[in-house]
Parts: sequence; C-alpha cells; structure tokens
Amino acid sequence: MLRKKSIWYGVLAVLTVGIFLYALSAGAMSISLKTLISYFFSNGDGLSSEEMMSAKVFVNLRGPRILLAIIIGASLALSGAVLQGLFRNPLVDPGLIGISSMASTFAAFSIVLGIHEWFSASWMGLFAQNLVTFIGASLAVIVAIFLSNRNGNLSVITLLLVGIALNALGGSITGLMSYLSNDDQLRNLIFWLMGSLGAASWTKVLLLTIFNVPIIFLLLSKGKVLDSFSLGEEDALYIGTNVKREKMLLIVFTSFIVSTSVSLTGVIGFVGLVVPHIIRLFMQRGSGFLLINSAWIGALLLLFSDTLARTIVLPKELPIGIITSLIGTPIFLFMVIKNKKALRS
Amino acid sequence: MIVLQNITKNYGSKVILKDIQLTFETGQHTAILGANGAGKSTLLRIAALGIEPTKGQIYFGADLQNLNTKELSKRRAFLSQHYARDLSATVYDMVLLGRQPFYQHKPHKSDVNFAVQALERFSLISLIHHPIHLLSGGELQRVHLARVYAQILGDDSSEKYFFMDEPSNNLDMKFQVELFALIDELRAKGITVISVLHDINLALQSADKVVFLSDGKVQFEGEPELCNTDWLEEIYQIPFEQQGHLTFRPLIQGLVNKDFNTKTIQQFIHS
Repeated sequence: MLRKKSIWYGVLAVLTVGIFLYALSAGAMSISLKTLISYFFSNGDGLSSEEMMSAKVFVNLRGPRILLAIIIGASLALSGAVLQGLFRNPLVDPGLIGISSMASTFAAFSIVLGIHEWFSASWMGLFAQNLVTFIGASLAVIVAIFLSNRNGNLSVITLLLVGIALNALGGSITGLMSYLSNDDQLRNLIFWLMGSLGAASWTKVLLLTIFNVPIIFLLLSKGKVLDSFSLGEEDALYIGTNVKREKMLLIVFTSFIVSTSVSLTGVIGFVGLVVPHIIRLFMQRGSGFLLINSAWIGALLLLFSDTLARTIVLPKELPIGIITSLIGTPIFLFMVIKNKKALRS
Repeated sequence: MIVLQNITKNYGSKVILKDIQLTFETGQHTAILGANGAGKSTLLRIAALGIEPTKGQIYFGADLQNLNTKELSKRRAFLSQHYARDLSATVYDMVLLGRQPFYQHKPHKSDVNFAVQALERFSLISLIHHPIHLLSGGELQRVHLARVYAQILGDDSSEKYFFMDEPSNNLDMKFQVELFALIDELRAKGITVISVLHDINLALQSADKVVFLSDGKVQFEGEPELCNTDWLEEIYQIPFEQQGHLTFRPLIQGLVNKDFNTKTIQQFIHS
C-alpha cells in the first residue's frame, strides 16, 4: 500500500515538473533561462531589446497567468471534491447549485446591456465586469442557501433543486441576452462562457491570493469532517461532527472560491467534476488524501489546459473550457465503462 | 440516566410520538419494542439527542446535553438502522471513524489500538482491508457494530450511553449471541444500553426493562417478567402463546386461517 502511494506521488512529481516547464516555455514568445536571470538579477544589462521585450511579456503576462491557473484549478477541483463528499454524490460539481449559470447570466447582462460601463468612471472600472459576475454568483449562493435553510440546517435536496431552477433560469436569460447581442458582444460572451485566463494580471493573482488561498488551506483540513459525512448527516453528528456548522461552512467557502474564480475567468467546466474522479480511479483513500490531491491535480490540469489553449492555434487563443471539456469527457466516459465492468464482475 | 418528559414528535401533520414519559436507568439495558411504524427509531434518536422533539424535555445524564457535539460523542455511541453500502472506504477506515471524537487531525496510537480491539471483538481482522461495498449484509452490520463499540471503548470511569437501532439485523445466530454477550459486557462496565429490537425473546432475555410502543405511545413498560401474551397480542395484533420462561411464540397456523382467506382478499380488493 505504501509502495502504491510512493508511485502515485512519484508520478505526480514528474507531471508537476513537466507541466511547469511546458507552461513556462511554451507560447508566442520563447524565452531562455539566461535572459530571465539577467532580467531579474542585473536589471536586464546586456539584453537586446527583443530579449527585454520577451522578458517583460514573461513577467507581466505569462507569470500571473500561470499562477492564476494554479489557484483557480485548485479552487475548482477542491470545491468539487468537497461538495461531492458533502452531498455524498459523485456527480455533484460546483455548477450544480447554480453558481456558474447565475454568474454567466450576470456576465451576459454586463456584456450585452453594458452594466459594467456604469462603474467605468470609478476605480472599479478595471474589474467592473468581474464584480458584476461575482455579484451574480454570490446571489445564486445566497438564494440557494436561503431557500434550503431550515433552522440553520441546510437541506441538500432543496439546495440541488434550487440549483436546477437557477440553472434553467440562468440558461434562458443568457440565451435571451445572446439573442439580443451584436456580433462583438456575442463573441465576447461566448469567450466568457467557455472561460479564459487571457486577462490574467498581477492584481488578479493578488486578489485570489487574498481571498482563495486561505480558504483552500482551510478546506484542505476538512478531510476528517468529510469522512464523517460519508456515514450520513445524522451519523456524522453521532461521531462528533457539528453537522449544521460544518455543512454551512463548507458550502459557503466552496461557493465563495468558485464565485471568485468564475468572476475572474468565466465558466471553466468539468474540472470540479472530473478531478476527484481521476483520483478515485487510481487511489481509494480517505477524504484527506482526496482533498489535497484534488487541489494539486486541479492546478496541474488547468495549467496544462491553459498552456494548450494559448499555444495550439497561435497566434490566436482557444477558450479554456473547450480544452477542459475535451480532456474531461473521455476520462469521464472511461470511468463509466470501468464502473460498469466492475459491477458486472 | 436519561429522562424523557412529555416528548412529542410530529413530521408535518403526522404525529410520530405522543407525550412520552420514560426513564432509562444508568447501567441498565432497556429494549424498545413495538409494531412497524410505532415510533421506536424516532424515540431512540430523540433520546440520543440526534433529532429534536417537537415538544418536551430531555434530561441526559449529568448535564451531558450541554456538552458540545464532540464531547458528547465521547460518551454516547449510536448504531443506526441503515448505512450506505456504496463506499470505497475499507473496513479498517470505517471502524476508525468511531474514534473521531477523540482526535483532532490524525488518530492517536490509542485510537488505532481501540479500533483493532473492536475489529477483533467482531471477528473482522481477516476483512480489515476489504472495501465496504464488497461486504455481505451481516459483515457490514458487524463493521458498524465494531465502529460504535470502538467509540465507547476507553475511560471506563465516565458515564456512557450506547444506542442501537435493530442491531441484530442481518446477523447470523452466532453473532446474535455475540451481540447479547456484548450488551452484558457493556452493562457490566456501567454503560447504559438502549436498543430497538424486533426479536421479542432476545429482548426479554437480555433487557432489564422492556418498553412496548404502539401508535407513538408507551403501551406497556416494565421488567421482562411482566410481559405476557395479552401485551404481545395487543401490540402486534396476532395470537401468541408462552412456551416457557420469557419465551413467546406467535401462532402462525391460526393467522393463516384467520387473515388470509379469500373472503378477506376479496374485501380488500373491493375496498
């Protein structure tokens, strides 16, 4: 058993190094390690203007983009793992309680009706669309929690049903907005609906470091709580879990980190659903193992997908949602087939 | 000691328990019996502070109801009637869950020792690495019994409570006997045992007190010696005969002739 775990972490370490090197080096502009060292340690002395340019691109564009992919990938996959454990349903992902679809709806409002322009005069102008989207995502969470709350205890079934309603509502409004939009707006909207890390900046990395990173660490410590939920809510209580408090905390925190992620990058599907499954496919361990590995592999998957998205159709970019779904779907189908075989035997 | 005063429980307009007054004495085994839907499991869950009553008061030991969830769980273990089967956790992981109230992030050595002791107690050592979803019904029941047993192990000086909802479910004769040996062991340690049981004879032979529920009310309660065929016939609505000391048998022959004749079936269809 120990040997299997060492192999697992060995493979993960190799993948991490490989994907990092790929993400650092691949792109429209290539850069050598020597140029980077010179840029950082001797203020670019002796570098040609072309080398200076590529170093700047690297520091201001690729650097934040890589970090954004890591934080958002970890946020999405970890949220999926937490919610699947909490709801005791392997098909749950953060989108299911309506976060992504309400975020999309508000993004569509913002793009098509120009809501973000209301803020454009203020300091918020730079993040106006992100802010409007975050409000949409938060609204979904608040409505879902409010309607499923009964004396401080959240009904999981009601939460999922409200999610279905919000998804339907969000889908139809987004549809209406895309019908009303002009060509430019539609293109913008489609790109947003499929997600992109193209607008990465150090400010966004800083925002996510402040908001998401502490929550990610907090959620990573909830393996024991999620293990207790595997018995069912009432029996989790009998083994000492404060069910009402933990359930509320897990739902609010996962929703929050998904909302911030969605509002900065658009909807990135399949990461939250598929990553925990990939882990379960190879390693059946407790929730603690699942959480830390979901965050890790989620970060790697998004980093890999984003690097592909920005390099395979150079000089253009693909929306990242296309890549994550293209990677996720075959894995998901493979799991279904494997499960079917296991059931038959 | 647990005292239930005027306990009522409603689910919407459906009344499950009506004005229950009961006392569960310290260190004794009280068995709750009754027909399906009489409110036995609900009563057990309320007594264990798992769900709240609609009305009424509960006095749980020496102020134990004021402890937080974790501290309370060091003193009270509960075996439910149904558990999920589709879990990938192993038998060992599952039994170790019983020690959760005693550690923060990682189980201590003592927790592991208690889990192993519980696994041994229910003859599960050979299945220790098996995933839950591959177990038979009886094996799964033993795993959960071992889990709640692991939870109650250690620190024999404090007041403890052990609740079981139909613990003999799926168990073969050997493990049913083992189960009652376990109840004796717990009682000997001063642990209060409260169970919901279907097997009348096992309940009568093992319990210090039996409580018969009917339609959400306590119909009869007392020492097992007080139980008679009149009680049982009123509770279960079928004829019984006494076969010996604390041993009763339903009269199946009479039941077939009385209840399942064609006239009854026709009446049922036409109603």
